[in-house]
Amino acid sequence: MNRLKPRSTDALALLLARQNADGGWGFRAGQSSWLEPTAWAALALAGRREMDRAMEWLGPLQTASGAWPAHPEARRESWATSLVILLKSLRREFDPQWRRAVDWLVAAQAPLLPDRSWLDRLLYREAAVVFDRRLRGWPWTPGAAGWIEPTVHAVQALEHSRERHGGEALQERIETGVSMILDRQCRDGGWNYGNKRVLGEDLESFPECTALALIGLCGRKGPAVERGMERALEDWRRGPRGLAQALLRIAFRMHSVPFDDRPVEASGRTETTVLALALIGEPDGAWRLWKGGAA
Amino acid sequence: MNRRHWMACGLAAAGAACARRGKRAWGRKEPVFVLRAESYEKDLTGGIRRAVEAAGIAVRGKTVLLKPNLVEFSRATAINTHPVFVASVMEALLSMGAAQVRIGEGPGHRRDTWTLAEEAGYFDAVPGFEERFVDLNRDDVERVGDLGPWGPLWTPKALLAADLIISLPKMKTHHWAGVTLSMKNLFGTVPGSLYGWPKNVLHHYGIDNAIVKLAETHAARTVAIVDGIVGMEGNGPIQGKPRAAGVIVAGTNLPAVDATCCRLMGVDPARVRSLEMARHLGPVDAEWIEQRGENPGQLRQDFELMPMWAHLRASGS
Repeated sequence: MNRLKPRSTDALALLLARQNADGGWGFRAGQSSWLEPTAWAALALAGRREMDRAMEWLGPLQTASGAWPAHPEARRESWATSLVILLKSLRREFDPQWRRAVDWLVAAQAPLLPDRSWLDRLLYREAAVVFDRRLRGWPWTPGAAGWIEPTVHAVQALEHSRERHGGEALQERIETGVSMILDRQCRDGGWNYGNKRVLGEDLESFPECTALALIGLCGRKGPAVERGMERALEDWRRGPRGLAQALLRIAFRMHSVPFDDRPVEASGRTETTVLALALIGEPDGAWRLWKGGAA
Repeated sequence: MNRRHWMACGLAAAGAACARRGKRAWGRKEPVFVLRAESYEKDLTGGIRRAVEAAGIAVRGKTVLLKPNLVEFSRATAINTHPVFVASVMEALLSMGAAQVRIGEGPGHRRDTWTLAEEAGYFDAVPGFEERFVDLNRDDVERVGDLGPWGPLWTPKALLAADLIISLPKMKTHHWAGVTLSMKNLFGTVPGSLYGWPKNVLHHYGIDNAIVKLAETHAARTVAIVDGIVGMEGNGPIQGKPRAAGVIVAGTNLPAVDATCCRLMGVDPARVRSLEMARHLGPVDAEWIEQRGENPGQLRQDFELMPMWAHLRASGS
């Protein structure tokens, strides 16, 4: 039973009511505008004037480096840059602002982490954290290690920018990002935030991360993707709610995988990101845009 | 004895030899109360009232933010501060005159805090949870310091709005830090919306450095009540095994509380790097801790330590 007090309130009405006067959205009603909820809300409302207002709020927040911060006050480059690039690409706003952002994203990558230590070799006969260190994905914040979610969003942003931006470096980064996502797949077939095996033990996947990884692998085929989808369907049968449910619906639709759909429950307490992703994952939602021309 | 155990013994000896054991005068004795509590069922609220009073935690008229340890959920083990423990603390504080009690957490791995809280049983156990809870990963933030090259340290405004923060950690071993107690529990106050999931910047800054930085930032308004009824040993904080330690530990000084927990876990607190580094915030040595209630030495249960942390084991048993 869901304790988030589901009501029949329409997710769209809730989302529209939450837009701040500045054009952005907070994670909840009455909060200051943040990049992440604003980006997802804008995508959910693609084609509406509310999206235009959101883009007007986002534009001036670009930093000198070309990136966007996660919050206006933070003024530090962040993973949210990928979300803004995705929006601008979907709107065909291939302007200098977009180009500077893509240039920044292509150059941004997680650092090369040191190989396993002598202690790890002694104790575990493998690295303390097992992954292919050559596959440097994208971090949440510059200089930090690469993780699944920022890498998925970066891959998606670059995929949608590829045609207009071009360049071998961009293509290479996409392929490295995809390889990194595949490398971090958990033994159970799904994904978590990005650690599949730590200190000699396998870690379990999380349904929301499995969904995200599959979104990042949209358009890709192969046994790993199939295993991931099997895991996602298994997660779906367990009746996930909230963010996991919203993201799984999008992943299934983007991969054209049939599933027993049920709407995401929404209430005044539901986070803006979940409301927006729920709308994006509706049969006629913006997942089609996100997926690209193949929808 | 397998290969790992022999190597662990060697590492333990080396670690013990290298451990910094510099005792330092604190100037006054900090009270820490230890209560025997065998289960989450039997008059827990009454026990926590006793603990709060005996530890000298003043709550009357204050707005309080409870910071439990909510990380991931698994039915197979004991990762999180037990929801009944959180509910009992809340009930105890309200009965003792706290003006308002809120609950806040920002999990480091799971993106959907509300669903995690529901899975972990918080909605069922904590009356009015939905109204009291604030997701610290997504609250509005204020800059409170810096993390060197990693930029500013931001903290949720809900934390700053509270008169008193009560760290409610689970008594656990930790595969990167040795132990995770009231100071490490403050990692959950760092907003994921800015730092991500996991809050990897804290690891790059240095886990011990980050533990101390967060304790420095919040110690003046933070006290602790530790859920040691069932803790976790071995490969904590996620994959370890439940360990029924049967204790609640409470105090107004975070290093003193954590040092006492270490003694209860069979860990020498002077060998825990973050505690060594936090000596300017509170005492670690037993002579500067006024143990109230049960004697930790008599309730000591040696928590299983991973081989890499074998050198933390306290002498004797």
